[in-house]
Amino acid sequence: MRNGTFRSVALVALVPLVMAVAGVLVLQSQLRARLVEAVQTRLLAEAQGFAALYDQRRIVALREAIAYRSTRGDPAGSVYVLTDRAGAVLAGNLDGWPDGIAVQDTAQQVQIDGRPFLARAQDLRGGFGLLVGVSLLPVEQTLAQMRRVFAAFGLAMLVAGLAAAWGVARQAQRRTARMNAALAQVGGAGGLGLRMPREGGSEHAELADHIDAMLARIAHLFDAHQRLGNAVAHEMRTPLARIRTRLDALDLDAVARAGLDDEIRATIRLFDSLLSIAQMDAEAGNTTTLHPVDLGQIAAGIAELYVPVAEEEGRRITTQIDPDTQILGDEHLLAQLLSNLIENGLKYTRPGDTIAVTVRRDGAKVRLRVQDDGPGVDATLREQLFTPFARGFDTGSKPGHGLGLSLVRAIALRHGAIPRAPATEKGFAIEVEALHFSAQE
Amino acid sequence: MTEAGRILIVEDDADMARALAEACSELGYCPVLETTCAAGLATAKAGQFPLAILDRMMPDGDSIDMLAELRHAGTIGAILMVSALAHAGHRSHGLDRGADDYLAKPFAPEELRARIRALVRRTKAQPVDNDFLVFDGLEIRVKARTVHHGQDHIPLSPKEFELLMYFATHAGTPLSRMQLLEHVWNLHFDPQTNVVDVHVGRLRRKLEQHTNRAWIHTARGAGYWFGPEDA
Repeated sequence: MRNGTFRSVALVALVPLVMAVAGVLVLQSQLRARLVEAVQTRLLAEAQGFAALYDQRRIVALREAIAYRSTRGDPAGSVYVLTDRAGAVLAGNLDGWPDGIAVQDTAQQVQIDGRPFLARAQDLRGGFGLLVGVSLLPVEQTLAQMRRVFAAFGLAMLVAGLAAAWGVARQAQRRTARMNAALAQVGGAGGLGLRMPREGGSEHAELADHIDAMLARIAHLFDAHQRLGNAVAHEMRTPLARIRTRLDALDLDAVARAGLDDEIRATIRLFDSLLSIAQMDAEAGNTTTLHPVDLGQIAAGIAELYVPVAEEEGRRITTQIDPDTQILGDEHLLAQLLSNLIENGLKYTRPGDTIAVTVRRDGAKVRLRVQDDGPGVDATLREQLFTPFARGFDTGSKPGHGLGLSLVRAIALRHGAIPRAPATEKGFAIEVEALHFSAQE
Repeated sequence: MTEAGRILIVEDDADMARALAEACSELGYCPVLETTCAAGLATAKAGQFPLAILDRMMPDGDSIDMLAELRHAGTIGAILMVSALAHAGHRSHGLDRGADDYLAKPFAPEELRARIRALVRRTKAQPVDNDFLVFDGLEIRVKARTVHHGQDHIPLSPKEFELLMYFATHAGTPLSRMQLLEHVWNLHFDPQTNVVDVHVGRLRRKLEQHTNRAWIHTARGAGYWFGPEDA
C-alpha cells in the first residue's frame, strides 16, 4: 500500500478515536466532580453530627463517638483527630494533627500519609480541635477502572477502524489500479478500442462511463481524421491518375511529357508526405505495429543506396555503424527517415563535402546522427526546420516541398524519439535517439 | 480467349476501370470487370485468372479484407492492388496482407502495363531447376552470384547483381523505377532523387563495357527493360 493511502487509512481510523478520547475526558472530569461532591456531602454531615454531639453531650461523649468511628467506622479508611487545647490527641486514628491543615469552614483536598482525603478542620467551643477526613481513594479507583475500560474499548475501536478503513481503501485502490492498467493499455498497445472495467459502486461505474465516452469520442475523431486523410488521398489521386492517363492521348514530345510527369510525381509525393505525417502523428506512441529492427543495418543499406548518387554529384557518404543497434520500429518508415536525411544532406552540400551517417549504441540508447560539413543552417532557424513547409536552408534553386524534415520528425515521434538539430562546429547535423530494444518495457 | 488469358478487375471508378481494362487488352488479355468486392469474389471463385487487379476503396468495403479469401479460393495466380492509399505504410500493409504487388494511384499507363506483364509472367514461369541464366552470351550463375560474357568475368557489387537478377528474371518486360525500388531495395516510397537511374546507369555501363552491347534499355515513360539488343 502506498504512503498516501496509508495516511488516509490512518486518518479515517484515528479521527473517531480522538473524538472518543475527548468525550471520555469530559465525562471523567464531570463524574469526578459528582463523586467528590457526594464525598463532600458525607463529610459535612459527619462533621456537623460531631459538632452537635459535642454541643449536647460534651467532650466525653464526643471522644467515645470518635473512638468508635475510628475503629469501626469506615472501611475505606476515614481519618478522625480530636485534640485538646494544647494539641494533644484525645481521640482518633491518627498520631497527631497532620501538618499543613488549617482550620477553615470549607472542605479541603489534602494528602495524609500519601493518601488523598477530603478533610474538614474545625474548632469546637472550649478550644478543642476536630479533624474529619473522608478518603478519596475509592473515587480515584473508580475513575481509574473507568479509564482502563475505556482504554480497552479505544484500542478495540482503533483496530476495528483501521481494519475497516484498510479494507475500504484496498478495494478502492484495486479498482483504481485496474482502471489505471486499462488506461495504460489504451495509451500503449491496446488502442482506443479498449473500455474501462465495470465493477462496484455507482461512482466508479459513472467514472468508467465518462472515461469510455471520452475514449469513444477520441476514437471517433481519430477515425474521422483517418477517413478524411484516406478520402483526400483517394479524391486527389484519382483525378491525377485520369490526367496522367489522358496525357497519353495527347501528342506531346518526350521532354514536355517528362516534365509533366515530374510535376505530377512531385504533387503525389507532397500528398504522401502530408498523409504520412498526419497518420504517424495520430499513431505516435502506439507500438503494436512496431517490431525489433536493426537501425544500424537499415542506415547502412540506405547509405549504400545513395553512395553512387553522392559520387556522381561529387559528395562523399561515410558510415560508422555499431553492432547490435536493435530498436522497436517499422523498417519501411525508418528507411524513409534515413533516405530523407541523406537526401537533405546531398541537397544542401557542395561538391567535395561529406555526409557522415553514424549509428551508435550508448547503453540503453541507440543514437542515429546524419551530419554534413556543408554550409549549414543559421542557429536561429534550426529549431523551425521540423515545422511543415519551413525552409531554413538557402533553398533558392533546390527542389522540394519543405516537408522532408517534418516527415523525419513524424517518423521519429512514431518511434518514441525526438529528433534534434544540435549545434555543430561545421555544417549541419540531425540526431535521433531511440531506446534500444532490450530497454523497452 | 481462353480462361488462362483473363484478368479480373475489381474497380468502381468507371474511368479507372476503363484504363485498367485497356491496359489488359493492349497486352492481349481479356479483362473481366466487377464493381463490388462481393461480385469480384464470386467471379474469382467461378473461374481461373492468372491475375486479379483490385482497387482498395470499394463501395462495399476495403478489398484488402477479401485478400485472404481470394487466396484461399486458389483460382487467382497473382494479385495486384491498385490504390490511392499509397504511402509506405499502406503499401507494406497491402503486401503483408497477401497482395503480390501494390501500385499507387495515379500511375502512368506504362507502369501499369509493366506490373501486369511482370505478375502474369511470374505466374506462368516454370520453376528454374538449374541456377544458370543465359542471354545471348551473357551468363548469370545464380548461386555463385557471378556474371560472365564469354570468358570475361564482369565484377558486380551484391546490389548490382540483385538488380541484374531482377532484370534478367523479367527479361523483355519494362520495369518501372518504383518496381525496382520495391523489389530490389525493398523500399516503398518515392525518393526525390534519381537514385534508381544512377544504379541502373552504373550497371548498364558495366555490362556495355564488358560486352560492347546494350542490355538495359530505357522504356519511354515506364522505366527500363532488359534484353539482348545490338548497340
